[in-house]
Amino acid sequence: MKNNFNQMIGPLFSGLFADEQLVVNFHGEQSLFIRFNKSKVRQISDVLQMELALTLKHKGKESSMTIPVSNNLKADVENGHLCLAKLRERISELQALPFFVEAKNNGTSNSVHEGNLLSCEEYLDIISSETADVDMAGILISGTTFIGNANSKGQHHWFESSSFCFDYSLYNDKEKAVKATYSGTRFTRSEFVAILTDARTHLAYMSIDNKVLPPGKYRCYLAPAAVSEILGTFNWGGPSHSGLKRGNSPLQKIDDEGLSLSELFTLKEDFTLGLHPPFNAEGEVACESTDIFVNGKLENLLTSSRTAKEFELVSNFANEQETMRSPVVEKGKLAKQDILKELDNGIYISNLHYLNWSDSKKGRITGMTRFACFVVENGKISAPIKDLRFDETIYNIWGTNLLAVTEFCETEVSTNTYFQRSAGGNRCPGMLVKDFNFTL
Amino acid sequence: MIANWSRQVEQFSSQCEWVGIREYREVTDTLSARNGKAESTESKLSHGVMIEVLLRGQFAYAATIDLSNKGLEQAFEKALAMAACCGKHKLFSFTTNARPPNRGQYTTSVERRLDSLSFAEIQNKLINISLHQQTSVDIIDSWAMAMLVHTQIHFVSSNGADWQQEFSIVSKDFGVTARKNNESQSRSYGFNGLQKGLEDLDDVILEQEAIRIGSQAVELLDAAECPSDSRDLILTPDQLYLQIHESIGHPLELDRILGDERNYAGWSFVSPEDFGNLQYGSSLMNISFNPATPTGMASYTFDDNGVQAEKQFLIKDGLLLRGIGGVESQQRSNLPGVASARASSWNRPPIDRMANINLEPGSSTLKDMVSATEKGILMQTNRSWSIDDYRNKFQFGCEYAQLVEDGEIAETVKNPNYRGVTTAFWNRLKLVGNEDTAQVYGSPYCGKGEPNQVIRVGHSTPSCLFSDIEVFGGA
Repeated sequence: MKNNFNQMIGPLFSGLFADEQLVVNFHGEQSLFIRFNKSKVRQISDVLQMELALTLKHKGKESSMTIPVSNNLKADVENGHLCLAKLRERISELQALPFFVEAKNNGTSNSVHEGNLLSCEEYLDIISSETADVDMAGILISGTTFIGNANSKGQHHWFESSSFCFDYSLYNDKEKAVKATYSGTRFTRSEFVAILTDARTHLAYMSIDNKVLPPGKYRCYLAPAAVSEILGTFNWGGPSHSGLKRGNSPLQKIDDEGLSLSELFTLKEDFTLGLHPPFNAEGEVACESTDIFVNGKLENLLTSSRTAKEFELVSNFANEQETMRSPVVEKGKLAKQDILKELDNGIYISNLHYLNWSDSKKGRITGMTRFACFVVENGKISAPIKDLRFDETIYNIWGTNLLAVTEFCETEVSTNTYFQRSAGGNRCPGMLVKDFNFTL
Repeated sequence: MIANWSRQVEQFSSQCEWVGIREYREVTDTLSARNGKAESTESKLSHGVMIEVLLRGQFAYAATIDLSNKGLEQAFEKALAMAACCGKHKLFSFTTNARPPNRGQYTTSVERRLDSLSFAEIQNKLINISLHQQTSVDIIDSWAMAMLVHTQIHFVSSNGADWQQEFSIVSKDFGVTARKNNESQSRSYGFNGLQKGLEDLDDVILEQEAIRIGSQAVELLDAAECPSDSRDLILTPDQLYLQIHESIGHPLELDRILGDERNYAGWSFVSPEDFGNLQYGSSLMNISFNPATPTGMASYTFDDNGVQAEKQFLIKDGLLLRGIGGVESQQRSNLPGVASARASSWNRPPIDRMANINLEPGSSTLKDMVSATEKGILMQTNRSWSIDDYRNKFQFGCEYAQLVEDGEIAETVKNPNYRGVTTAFWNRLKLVGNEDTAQVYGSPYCGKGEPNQVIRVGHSTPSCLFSDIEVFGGA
């Protein structure tokens, strides 16, 4: 697909008029999706898609248009020129943008992550045979994604990644479940079986009858997947500098009152994870690592060049939404074998579900427990719990109530496939917290 | 741009039991303004085909943007090969009776076409809204957006189906943030999308609404916190539509009940034996699947399996009767469903989705509901939502609320929230508003499925009164 991209953009840049600037963003994928229910194939699909987004800039004005890219270069270039003509006509009528960002040459990059992916038949042979005796639901995603960016100033970036992700859950006859994920660049039966066996072991715990806990405050261990869910919600407006300036930030209290979170909490954007390219839609390349919180102290917010212009700040080349594209929470000192002992009496939470800000300006999040969550009594797993709703602030979870952070982290690869397969992921440790507030 | 695919269907049909081609072309224009100034404008054209093959009981799907003969042949070969290798691993064996050979067309009725105004003219409307919302110096941010969607779908199959649908959709939202003494409050119109033309962007109405939004945000800055207790709750359509969506629509989806969504969106507390037996809500509760709702965002004639859609009651007098599931889920479950297998675009297979899921109007006026309330609260405009994976325990937050005391509207309160459990909540439905209180709301952001899909849904609902609900305020 790199050829499609390169061959298409040259004629478009050549066709620009004086003073015009053009920024192009390419996304392509060739993906296989196999959806399972009861360890059988519910749906199977293959997607070939490519699209090119053109942003024409001229004297403080700009407008964007995304068009599909086929494998017919002549037709694609013609479409691109038609698109440019429409954009030219459109911006002649539009008002100038108050915080216009000029295109610049932000350099070139090329990042290709190759994989050794299996065929549909090979995936099915392994997965079906290994899960034939258990009730499994989930999806296998396999293929290559392509992200390109270039502009008329000579900037050129390319990111290409071949990978698979098998995101699934196992169920017992009491409708209790355990979640598991296997992702990488080379699917092997032995690695898959090792993760599957671990999930089967946890599923065995779920055969005990549910314990129904009343709402209230509980000492809890949040496993990395649960922390990842909280981080995902925080990412929805939390790190945005624009959000703070526009009165819509969960970190408003920190800005107003000079608060800090726990010294145990360190969060950064770290592109060395390799899951997401560091360039944004303007082609600006962010630092390899940007500290957000260091030992509880807010160090940086994410600032796009547009926000920087509006509020007279310095851009750190965030994306337009000012969300973390590759967040990493630093590990701590709590050893894996000490988790249950340190939890002592409380709830072990493996996963959370359907989180949302319940009061975004005060940093309060609500959500549900999901999958394998257990009551722990005297440092031992006692019984699975009936699902509970929590409603709690990040100032408590990552602040006054944070007791310990695990000495290990888990990397979660994005399984987001809305519209197209997403790049990205995060890396989180587990966390021990006190007085976690359950309401229903 | 929508092609005649009969020749390709004929070419491919000899190699499988059934083949269908679904072409999908969609143009989405998104415009915005903020604080009286222009913001970004963008358009997106999405155009491709999904080739669907039935071989030895398994459907397989291959989507491509390459619309040349060679591209289509490659996609067909892929679909054929995938269907073949699923043979011994398939969950259910389907036949061609899951793809009826319907023919016909549907077109949104519009007064003003989406291209009847230029981008500059639409953006000027948005700039104007953002200026009208600035009713006070305490307003620090004022924004407005509009999204215009034109969709064309053409489906042709080897057993004779040939239908086309064309949708025109206008969505809009606008709002402000006010700030004073370290207190911030946001108030918005509430995102709403309708099958309409540009007649939906009426300057006079929008200016009036903009002034109301700005004024209410400022009012909230000095409002008391919402109380934390149990009281009667009146919900207006701009909140109730999402309550219907989350606690009725999703749990009634047959693919959730069948377990397809267990790993992602979740399961359902509804079990197959509940149909015909479960008293889902009070006897005032009547819920319909209505694909003919005027301006409903998900009005259509055919679902993406080609089944003709018609109005059906899902819940009648509070009793659960029917699920939201297309022909495949109906065959798998032996449960009654509706024509609701829908794909988000050309690149995804159809799955069970809501369309227009409506709460039928009753006979009460809003004044009747207030008068009938001794101690209560009236909440407007959703701002937060969350529900568990079985669709039982929910929590919603709203932007604006007024206390109701002794049958009268009393003081305004900020940060209103309520929580509950689905069937217990709906069985507390005490009064249902009449037609005059009803509004149609639509959202294009209903997420579900593996691979993920967002789809447009519509909900028409009147205002309603619920008794004895747990409410609470902010952090």
